[in-house]
Amino acid sequence: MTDRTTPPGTSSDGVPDTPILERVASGDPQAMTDLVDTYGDLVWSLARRYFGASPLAAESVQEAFLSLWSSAGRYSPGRGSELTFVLTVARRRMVDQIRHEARFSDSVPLIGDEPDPALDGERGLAVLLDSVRLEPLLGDLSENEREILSLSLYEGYSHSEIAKRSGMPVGTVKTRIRRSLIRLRRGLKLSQEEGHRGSD
Amino acid sequence: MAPIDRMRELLAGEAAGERLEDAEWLELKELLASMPHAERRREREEMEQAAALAQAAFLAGDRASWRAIPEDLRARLIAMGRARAADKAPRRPRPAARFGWGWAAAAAMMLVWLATAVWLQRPQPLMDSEAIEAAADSVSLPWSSDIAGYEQVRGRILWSDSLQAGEMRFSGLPPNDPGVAQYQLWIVDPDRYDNPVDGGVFDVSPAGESVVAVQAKLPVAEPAAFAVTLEQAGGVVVSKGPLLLIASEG
Repeated sequence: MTDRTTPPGTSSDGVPDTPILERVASGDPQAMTDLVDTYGDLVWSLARRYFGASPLAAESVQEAFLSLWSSAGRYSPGRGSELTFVLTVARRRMVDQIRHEARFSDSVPLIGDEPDPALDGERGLAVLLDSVRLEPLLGDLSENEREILSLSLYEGYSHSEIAKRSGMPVGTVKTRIRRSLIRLRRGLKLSQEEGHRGSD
Repeated sequence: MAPIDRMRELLAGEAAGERLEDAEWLELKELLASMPHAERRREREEMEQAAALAQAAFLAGDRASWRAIPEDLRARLIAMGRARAADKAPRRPRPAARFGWGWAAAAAMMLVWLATAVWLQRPQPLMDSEAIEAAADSVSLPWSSDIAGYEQVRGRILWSDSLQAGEMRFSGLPPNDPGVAQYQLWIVDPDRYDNPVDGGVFDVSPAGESVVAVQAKLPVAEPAAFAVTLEQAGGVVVSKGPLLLIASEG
């Protein structure tokens, strides 16, 4: 496997020095490679968790990068990190894929049928994910709320499947997911505001 | 519940990947419409970001699920990206001959309505012109026609892949009787679909300029052309044309 631990345009710890998306928007060919090498493992890992061994995983990753190339010009560091932008666009494409295929139930991860190898945690993905510091916020949710949110956002289960697994009515599942997400959003906003105040 | 709280509840459902019920979707649309454009964009973005970051946070705590992107997929993505960068224009230009009137004539008898049960009858987010125009990938194409009675039509179609939203403007398009016939938009996305995608049916009243939202029944990317036909009320699955209006890069 190609060593892509420190792709061009990134520092030795794997974190981009300058926004790759700005270079993508300007048509820099190297930026296309950098974008894939910096975020490819991350987007692929999320897609694999969402779609399992289904070909939809590769399709959604391809759609995500197509979308990133198209929307790179809209990225503004003032509205969030590049990582957040990439994650948001990639998630949007995964959700589109799910809606398009209308088969949440078939998207359950296919454990045991995973042709691609597990990733060494010391590579760039560890650095990227280390910057997603949501643990304190997720910790504010109850165990049940966290589990339901994980099944929905991370594993791609439908509300009815979560209801079946948890024994809760679908309406309760829906409400808990919505309210948990609202709390996360509020917590993120507060921590960003605190961060801004701290840097003043 | 305060309107802002209700709006956030619905946005949270949307960001979580939930398919809102039609009543909820309309409610969300009304709630968003009451806010300034920049504010509603921020509200939606923040909720989407929270969902995306939470998804990544769950991955961060699940090292067994960390995967290396397959080499063939990586190579394909890089090749596609570099090909795109090599193309100086932000969008890949289409060969004129392929999607000009030659295409129109060839396609006139073969407009097959494409939709899935999921997207069918699904109202799509109504974006205002400003939001669509502001998108980095927005395109604006003028209508043209060589069909008698439609040569005078003026206007454009505005479309954004990233937003999956568009808007059509017409002046001079003959009004229709909605009970008898309706206009239907077709979106040509040959890289993804063999047949044009249904872009929704719409009506034109006698008064002035008409502004109509595109209602694509499937996700489309870099449409090569848009075409308008006049069909029976409710639209058709297979159109025999003629293509009254065309908007394409060719």
